[in-house]
Amino acid sequence: MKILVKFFASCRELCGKTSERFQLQDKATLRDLRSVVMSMHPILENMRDYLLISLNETFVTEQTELKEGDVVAFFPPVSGG
Amino acid sequence: MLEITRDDFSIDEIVQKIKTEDIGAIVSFIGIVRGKSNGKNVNKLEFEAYKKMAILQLKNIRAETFRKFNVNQIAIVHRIGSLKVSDNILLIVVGATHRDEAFKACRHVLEQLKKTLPIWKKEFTPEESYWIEGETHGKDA
Repeated sequence: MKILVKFFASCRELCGKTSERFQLQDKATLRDLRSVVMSMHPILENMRDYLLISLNETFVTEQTELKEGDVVAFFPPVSGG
Repeated sequence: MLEITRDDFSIDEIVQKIKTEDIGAIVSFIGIVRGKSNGKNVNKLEFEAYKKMAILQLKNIRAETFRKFNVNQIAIVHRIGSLKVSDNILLIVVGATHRDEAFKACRHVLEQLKKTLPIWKKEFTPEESYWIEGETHGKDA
């Protein structure tokens, strides 16, 4: 299945792109996707301890299974307001 | 009214919109761009949003605040893009029958928003620019 990953703020700048598509096996979880993204963009390892990940605009656990067409976003802790 | 926008807002217009006969108190919070941050001069801030998720989070925060506090109206406007010193960033307006709930709810909206709203700011000083990253991790609302 194909998953669209969006990058925001410092993640976007570190990866040098706003989004990227990743091919994953069926029943892959958000944790699996995170590992794939980290291997493609090892610079994100610097943010490993505080990186936030959303699935279809919602915060979920990393055990959540992904499905075709899901949209995932990687970003740092928020700082609006 | 929940909005993520590049445009400035009119506080008077938004207050007028949420005034209804059952409201006896309106509390507002306005966040503005400071000219100094941690001892450094600031030229401008740039705000970036994950807009689709930010609108959903604003809806979640508003719904949760209605559940927790006895308030009648909540309006939230957050600006994005490039903002200079003294520009408006954020407006929260809460209308309630009585003042105490309005004050508490307004503070609650602000604190939740600072933890969960997917918006990020970059500070520009005369020497450098850097992202400001929040301390909390986005999962409370």
